[in-house]
Amino acid sequence: MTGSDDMHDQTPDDEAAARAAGQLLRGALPPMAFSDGFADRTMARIARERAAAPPEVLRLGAMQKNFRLLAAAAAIAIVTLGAHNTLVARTENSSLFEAALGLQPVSAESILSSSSDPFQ
Amino acid sequence: MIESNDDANLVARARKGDDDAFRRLVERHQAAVARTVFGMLGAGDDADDVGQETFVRFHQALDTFRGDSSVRTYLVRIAMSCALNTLRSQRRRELRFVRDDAAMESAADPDAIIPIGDDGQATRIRNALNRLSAQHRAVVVLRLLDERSTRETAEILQIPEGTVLSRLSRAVQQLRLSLGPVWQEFTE
Repeated sequence: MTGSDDMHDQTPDDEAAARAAGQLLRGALPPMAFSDGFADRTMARIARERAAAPPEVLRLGAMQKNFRLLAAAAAIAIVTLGAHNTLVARTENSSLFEAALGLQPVSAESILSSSSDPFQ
Repeated sequence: MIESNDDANLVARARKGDDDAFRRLVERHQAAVARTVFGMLGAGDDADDVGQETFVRFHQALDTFRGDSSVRTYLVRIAMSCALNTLRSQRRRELRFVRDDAAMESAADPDAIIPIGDDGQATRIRNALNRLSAQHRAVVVLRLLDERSTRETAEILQIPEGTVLSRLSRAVQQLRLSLGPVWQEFTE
């Protein structure tokens, strides 16, 4: 790419020249179409490539699809659980973040008052 | 946006493995792909091969095609990318194998060889198009041969509209110089 390619300096002369060039090109070049049977050749090639694809490639494709489904299901489950925790388990002492994760509030007092498990 | 309900339906069916639906997509859009490929490469085996490759890649990308652009625009973008890759490998082949001076001379003056039965004009115009750099040729093919808007051309080539206009302007200047008398005769 040249430096001047990034500059736009279109003039009416440019437009007229572009129109003339378009007419000249379209008129002079032969019709641009694939030869008969193009769709057949293309479908045959797709079938060949499908048959030639190694099983691991097909398996990888299926795994990617399954992973996408699982990731979407996991995301929905996380959001639902978080919303449920926030609505049901939130107390005055817990922050929104703690509530969403279902964490119980822990203070120094509660730790010191219980020798074994501060959460009980 | 998917261009029409028909395309949307055909894409949905093809995603589920319906080969007849994909064949319909090939039949519907092969003309647009052909204009791009023939414009970039000229007629020949490479053009047919690149046309097929375009649809094979589209078939492989069906699952990820979101329909942000129309099927036709998406296919033309793939076709342009495949054609540019082919031009690059053609150039590498030429650099590797064209060694003797005579061959170099012939490559430098393509007007010297005009097929029998051709009045020469189509060949001269084709050669003038081939002398453009791939980037300039891509703009000429989309804007002038395929008659796409500046915006669509910019979208397909993923460059700013201003760059499309300046490349077009430079390409037309070069065509004018290459064609000389043919251009003058046409515009008089």
